[in-house]
Amino acid sequence: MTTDQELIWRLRERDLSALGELFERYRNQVYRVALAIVRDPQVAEDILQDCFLKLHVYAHRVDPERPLMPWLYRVTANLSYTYVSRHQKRNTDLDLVAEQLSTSSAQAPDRVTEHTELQNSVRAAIEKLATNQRIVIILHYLANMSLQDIAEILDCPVGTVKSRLHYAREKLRHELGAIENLSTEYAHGYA
Amino acid sequence: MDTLSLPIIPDEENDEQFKRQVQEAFPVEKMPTAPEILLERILIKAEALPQVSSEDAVAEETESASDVSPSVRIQQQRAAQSKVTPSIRQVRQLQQFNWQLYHQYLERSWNKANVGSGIQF
Repeated sequence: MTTDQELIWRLRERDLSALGELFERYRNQVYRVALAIVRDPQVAEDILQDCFLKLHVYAHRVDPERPLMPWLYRVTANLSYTYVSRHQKRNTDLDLVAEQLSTSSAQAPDRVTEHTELQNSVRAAIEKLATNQRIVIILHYLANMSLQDIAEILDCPVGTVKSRLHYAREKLRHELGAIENLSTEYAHGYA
Repeated sequence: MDTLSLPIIPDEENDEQFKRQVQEAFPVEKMPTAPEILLERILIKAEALPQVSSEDAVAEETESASDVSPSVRIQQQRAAQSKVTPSIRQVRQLQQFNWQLYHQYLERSWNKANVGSGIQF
């Protein structure tokens, strides 16, 4: 298999087949992270396109000696952040409720419904986070990035990443803890 | 069974379990457009776009998508600021210089108008 390094060198020579190979290699990861941040498949797709166009345009800026994924995540995070901050005012809790209603199926078996509801709860809790915290959570837990990598991706000190992660975990503990308490009360017949 | 329906509360100890939960909450989803079509669109656009050379890339360091480390970026920002500061100083000097010129002009005009009167500026 051709290495990323070779593909980047080829891309620098305007070899578009190299861009195609890199797209095939990383499209799912980029799309998944973009979708997790923006929660709109069409927008996530646009971000995916822009991300690979930037890879083509700035191929000379990419260091072939370093892993490509953090660079792609950096562009994805920037593009997603720009989108979210422009559209933040339009997002309301009603959107989250609507999404939960549309994604959970009443006819599915109990186990599947429970599982989907749990996933919805986790997604909804993450969506309630401030954009900065949400991006850190997604890069750390979904994209498996280290704190050092996230600091480089977001262009901020590691301490800032740690702090965002700390406060994000606290908020998630609060949100998910409330769901846990509710479920326990329900299971014991208090509700 | 009950544990499956309860969310894992993130903390230092169950970081890995929470990671799995997040991964499950955001599964790899199918894109609205087929990847081949998307790639075709990217390639068409890419063909029309010029690449930024490495020299241009250095000049465009303020662009958000860059692979430099935070410390390097801070150094670059400071360097950029130091380039800006002298020009501001020059502008201020220029403004001061104009005032001096204006003062000299007034002095000359006054003296010219009052030649022989014995009144000097």
